[in-house]
Amino acid sequence: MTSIRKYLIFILLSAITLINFLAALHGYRTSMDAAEKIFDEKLIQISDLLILTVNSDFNNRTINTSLIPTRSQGVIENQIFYQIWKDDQLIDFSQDASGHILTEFNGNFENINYDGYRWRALSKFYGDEKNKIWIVIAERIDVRFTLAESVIVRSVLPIVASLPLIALIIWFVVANGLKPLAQLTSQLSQKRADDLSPLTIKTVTVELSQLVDSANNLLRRLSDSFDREKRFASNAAHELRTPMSILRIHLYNLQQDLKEPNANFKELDEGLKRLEHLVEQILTLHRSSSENYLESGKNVCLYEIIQDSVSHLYWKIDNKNQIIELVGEEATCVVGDKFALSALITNLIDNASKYSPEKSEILVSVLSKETPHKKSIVLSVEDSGAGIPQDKYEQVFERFYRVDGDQHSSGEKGCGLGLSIVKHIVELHDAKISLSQSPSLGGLCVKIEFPVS
Amino acid sequence: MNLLIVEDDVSIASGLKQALQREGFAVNVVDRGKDALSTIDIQAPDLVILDLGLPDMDGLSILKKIRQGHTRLPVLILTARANLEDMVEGLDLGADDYLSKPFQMPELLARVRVLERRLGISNSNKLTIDNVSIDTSAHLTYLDDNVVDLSRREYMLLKALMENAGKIQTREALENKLYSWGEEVASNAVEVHIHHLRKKFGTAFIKTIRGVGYTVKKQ
Repeated sequence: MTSIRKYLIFILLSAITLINFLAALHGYRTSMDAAEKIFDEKLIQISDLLILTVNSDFNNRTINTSLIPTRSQGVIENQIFYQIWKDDQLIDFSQDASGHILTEFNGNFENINYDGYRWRALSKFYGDEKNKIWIVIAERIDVRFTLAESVIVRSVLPIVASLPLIALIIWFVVANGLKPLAQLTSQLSQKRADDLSPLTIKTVTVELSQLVDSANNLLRRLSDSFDREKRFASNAAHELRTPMSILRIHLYNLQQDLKEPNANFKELDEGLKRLEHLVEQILTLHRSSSENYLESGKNVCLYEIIQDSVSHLYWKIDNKNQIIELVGEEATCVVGDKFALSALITNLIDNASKYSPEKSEILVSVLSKETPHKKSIVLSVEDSGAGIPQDKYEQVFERFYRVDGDQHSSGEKGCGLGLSIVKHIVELHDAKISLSQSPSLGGLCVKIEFPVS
Repeated sequence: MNLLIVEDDVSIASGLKQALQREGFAVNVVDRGKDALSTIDIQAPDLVILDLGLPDMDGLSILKKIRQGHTRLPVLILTARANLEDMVEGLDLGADDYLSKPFQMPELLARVRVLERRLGISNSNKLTIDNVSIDTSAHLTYLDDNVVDLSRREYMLLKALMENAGKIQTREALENKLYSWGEEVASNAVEVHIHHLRKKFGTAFIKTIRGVGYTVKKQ
């Protein structure tokens, strides 16, 4: 993944470096040219000064070139020398100068080699037809160059030296400029899947405010629709429970009036029971869905929930003369939602009772299990009923699926939601569910393994 | 006994009234929280059956108001909201019992009778299951019409089980009923009392649900 910050820093730094370099190069070149001109100008001025020293004394003066000491190479002390020629006779010259003609007398600048150095030499004509005076003046090119360069480098160097400082400033400016974005990112990454509260950013920039507004809009709409759904479920529960209560009460009154057992009444009662069960299961399924799964993260004692569930269902179990037992450790707690876990256990025990015949046994156990890698709590509900054929183990978790459809051999009425609710709740708790044949009772054994951190 | 039903649904109210009158209760019905509060102030009933979903006032705030003037008036809550938080809140605010809709009529009647006996105004204070009876006003127990002597805790234990016949009472629930807070309870105290009760009333009367608790079978 690319980072905007790294991208900006990299691009800005390289662009600034490149432009600075080009500017410095250009500046160096033009400065060098300008320096060249200034040095040349200086030679002309020196030459003009020298001619003033050539007085009439020189008119007759000649220099015996043989008197000029031969000089060993490379010991030149001065950076400039001059020769003054009159009518092709050397009449004056500076120390270090040669007695020979070194450059053409043409009034121009020439680059010449002398004494192991490159020189910039100017020959300039003074005088008239009678007195032909040429002044040759030359300056060491390497010295000029070094001098010019040292001046120019001093003015270019700060530009180069400032690059790290610029880099540092860019780093902070970019980081600071991207701060709102970083804030937004960290807020979004810390947000839980079910947290629909709006995003808040301290420093709102024009660019981000649009994004934040849109995101908040979306969150608000989402939260509204979840609220609506929750309200709908709660309203539906109320709306459905009230008419069912009406049916229940009047059915009871009718039964009291009838006195005799009546087949129609029994059918009515059965139908109402089915309706009540279906409504409760649908509401349970809704309430344990992940959007409504808000009470997560609490320590829930499984043993107590099982006791409650068994107490709650005991009239059904007792009606069928079934024996139920709870074994295991009382202090086994899992992290989760109490309502959901209660629905899970109630569904499992209810199933065990419903699909086992009269006088059968139900065994509920809750045990902690420890392997070297992990700790877990295993809840199991076993019965001595007919069980489920192994090839149907997968299907029973599907919504509205019932083994043998509505012709279940037990004759029990159901809606086929129980185990899909169970599976759903198991998944919410990161637990694992498995079906098998109970080794001790012979019926179905449902095992749920809850992880313990 | 005089009952006040606070319920806005006409059909439920009339059905309840019919069923409760058949059981010999005097029943009044109001459909608004305001009316309920004024009725209670004028002539307090012996028991209030309160629906939480009333159109004019929140049921729990009605309960709070009732409790301000009538601390001992038994209130049984009926609600279509069957979630744990509501139930806990209702009981915290001083509801005596709680039933979620839809409920079975016999269940409601049984709970009303428990509250009635607690008030001591029942015309029959005798609770009989099989050949065992307890007289909740005289605090006497009978086995086939013969008085059986019980210790105070044994009596309370038997009463708790018989009032909730058909339901399981967990060991913890029984301990809470028998012993007040801070009292030292031996870990097997309930078992010992049950053992004594069984000696007196036979082993089959109180059933053990292993790992869960004890129960007395309904007639």
